[in-house]
Amino acid sequence: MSIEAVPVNFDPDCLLRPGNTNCGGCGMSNGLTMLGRALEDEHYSMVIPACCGIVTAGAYPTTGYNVPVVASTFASSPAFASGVAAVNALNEVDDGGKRHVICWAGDGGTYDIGMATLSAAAERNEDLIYICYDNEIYGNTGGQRSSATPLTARTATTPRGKGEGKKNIIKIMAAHRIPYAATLSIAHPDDFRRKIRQALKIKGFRFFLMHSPCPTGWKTEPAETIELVSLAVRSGIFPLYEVFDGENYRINVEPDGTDPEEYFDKQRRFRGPEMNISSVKRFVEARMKRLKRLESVSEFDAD
Amino acid sequence: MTSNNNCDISIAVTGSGGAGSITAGELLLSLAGKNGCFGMMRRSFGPQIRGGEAAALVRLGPQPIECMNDHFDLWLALDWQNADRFADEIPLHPGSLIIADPAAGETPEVVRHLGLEVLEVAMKALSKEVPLGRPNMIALGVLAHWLDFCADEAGKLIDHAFHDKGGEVVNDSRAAFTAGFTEPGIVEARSRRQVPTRCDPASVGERWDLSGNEGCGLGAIRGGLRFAAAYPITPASDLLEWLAPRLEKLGGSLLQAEDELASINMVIGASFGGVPSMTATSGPGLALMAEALGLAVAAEVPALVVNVQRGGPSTGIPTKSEQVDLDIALHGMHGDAPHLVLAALDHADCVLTTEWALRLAEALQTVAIVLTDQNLAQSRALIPRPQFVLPEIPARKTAEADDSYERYAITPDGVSPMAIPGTECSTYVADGLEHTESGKPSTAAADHALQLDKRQRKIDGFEYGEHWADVQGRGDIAILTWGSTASAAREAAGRLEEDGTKVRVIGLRLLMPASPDRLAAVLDGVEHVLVVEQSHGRQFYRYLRAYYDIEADVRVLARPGPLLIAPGEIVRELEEWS
Repeated sequence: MSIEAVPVNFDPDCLLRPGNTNCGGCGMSNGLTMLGRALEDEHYSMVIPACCGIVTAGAYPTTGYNVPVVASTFASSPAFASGVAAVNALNEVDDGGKRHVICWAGDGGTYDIGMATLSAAAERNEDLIYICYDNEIYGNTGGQRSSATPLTARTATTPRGKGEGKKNIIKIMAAHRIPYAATLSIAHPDDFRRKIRQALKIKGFRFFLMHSPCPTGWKTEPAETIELVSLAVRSGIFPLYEVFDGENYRINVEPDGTDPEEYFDKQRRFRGPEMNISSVKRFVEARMKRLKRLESVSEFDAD
Repeated sequence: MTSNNNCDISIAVTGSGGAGSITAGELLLSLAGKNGCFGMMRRSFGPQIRGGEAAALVRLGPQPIECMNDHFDLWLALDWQNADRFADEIPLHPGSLIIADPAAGETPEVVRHLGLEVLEVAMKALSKEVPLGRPNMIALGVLAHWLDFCADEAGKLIDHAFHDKGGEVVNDSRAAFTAGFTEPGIVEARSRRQVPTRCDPASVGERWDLSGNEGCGLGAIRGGLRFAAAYPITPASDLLEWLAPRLEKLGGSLLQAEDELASINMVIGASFGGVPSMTATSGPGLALMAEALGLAVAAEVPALVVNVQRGGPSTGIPTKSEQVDLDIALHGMHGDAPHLVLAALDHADCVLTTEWALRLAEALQTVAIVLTDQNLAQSRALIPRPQFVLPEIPARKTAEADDSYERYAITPDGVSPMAIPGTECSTYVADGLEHTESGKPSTAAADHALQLDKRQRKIDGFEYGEHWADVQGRGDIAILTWGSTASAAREAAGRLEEDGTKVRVIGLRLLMPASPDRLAAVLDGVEHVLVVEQSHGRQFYRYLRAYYDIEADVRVLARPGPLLIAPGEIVRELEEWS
């Protein structure tokens, strides 16, 4: 098969190769590109369960990924990665360079079917990095609700809007007292990179939650993906913060008072009559207040 | 061999994902329906969410159609992107016609080497002349003209299809359709050709436009379904999505689970609560459900699983068809766990088989697995209204309050009354531990033997009636098959019959328990049996070897997916054999 069509700016070392068939405006694809840049010069392999992330591997001649990738069963990427991490530990290399293992999973594989293996790997404090790209639906099977789908969002299985709110996955992971948990935004690449680089220095289970718009499922304009995640951070809908050892919180980007309505207006999944913007605002404010309180009682070693 | 029926036409509409070839195909099928045709449409696409390839494979004719033909007569390419990936799903013959857009570039080598006639229609350029027009609506117009379909009916269908997108989209889609319908090159080319499609709307009766997944959903509802648990998996998700609003309307409900372990346990819980319940899944999901299904068998809680087969093992080829979950459906459980396995043979049969399976599961208080496949489940067919009469099947036997109540009492037919929690009845423990007649855990050899025998007896002793198989035709040659492959076998038999060879086709519907005596009776006088299945591992053949004695000469046509077994392939196999 010919690969003549490779663009001129093709970086042979990039994580996500050009030529994949992901949807335009896919937040996950942006996240993979940023992850690849943050991990340049590192040795790592990835474990990806059944999700859009593993479909990504399929369309380009040979593979869309430029690192070793294993496709695990849907429920089991943390278990699979625990095995990889155990062998990495056995094979600590002579040059001292560390081999990292990274789980890259969607919200279905994290909040739902993968929850048991995720919790177990976190409890064992496995030496791995887990990144959940959260597109808030089962994107790969046609857009059904997950337990990460926000209240009132319309999906293939919640045609009248979802009646339940979203799980607080960072709180769940923090409750495992893992050394590091943080949120990531593709609208804040510097913060993204800093957090990944920081995580590389930590041993044990490191968890990331990345906000990942899905224009196909969210009914949004592909060109507005970055604007959406930016609005989410600025309005406090998706706060950027990190949690050390399960208890010490640090907010990384202060919301600037942007009205959350702007975020919701851009998405047709929220256009139902059940959408109650004032209760959303109250929720967002209360959560920000709670985060600040947690930050105020957190203890850090002098940086 | 091309079709013997000269009123039969097969059309492929292809394009990159998102180009709208599926929408064009679906509208073409509906339009054919309005014009008095029968037909079928398969969707073929890769596992990509978008940006991959998508093909609508449509076959139309004046008689009911349940399978794809050996060749396509017309291939309309909206673009040629990734054409090489599905070229082998669109076999062509020397008379096939290609309609392509000159803007899409050169015809790819996989097609060009055949040297076929290519008609160029500037679909993209034409669509640009209408603000919201899209090339797929131009294509629909081109095909409607080619097939001599009524343009007014097409307009109504477009209104209906795009109603939610607003008046401008509707009007511009109609305008794009008209631009295709009246495109001078097509009109001229059409006038030079005989295109055998005209059906007579007045002469055909009521027809249904049904997908296999919808058929299964409808069958389950007819069987009394009131609860479904769902966990997304291709190609079963659309069955569950179809059920959700309908169950709600009937006072039932659908609950989406966090994984397949949960969905099957929700089903068992709901059924323990007294309501006919089901879920739908595909191979990997069925594998996850296996433990809980063993519990349902042991605790004698009715449960229905519709398993839509796809290419396996593992994620395999999730968007395409293969008949490869037979082994796991029959033998995938731990312990001796007698249960029911059924398989639907065609679209209408999805209704019958699923209704039958749910009623049987309820009557026999056990697990029923219905097998369909992606080809059947996700294709749409215009079929005569399904008509069938199931034998009398008792409803679930329930218990009333009684001091001496024993949930697992040994009865002559093996079925014992089930107390429903929340009703005026006795209490018991529904347990996966082996138990006594009262439900108390027991490791005693005698109790184990009694309960094993009871669970087997209720299934073996039941009178299933004539629906165990679909048998068509006579002759000393038989094709023995199952699932959606039966449709190709029937068509193959029809062609052979036209050439003077009589063939009987036996499609097994009830796979477990097996019916060796009935099959022996049907095979009486048959000298040659061709076993046909879409599996590499010959799962169906090994099943036949395990449960039946076939005295005739047996030959096996077993081929893996995702390419479907075509009627011509079966004809060739039989011709070579004789």
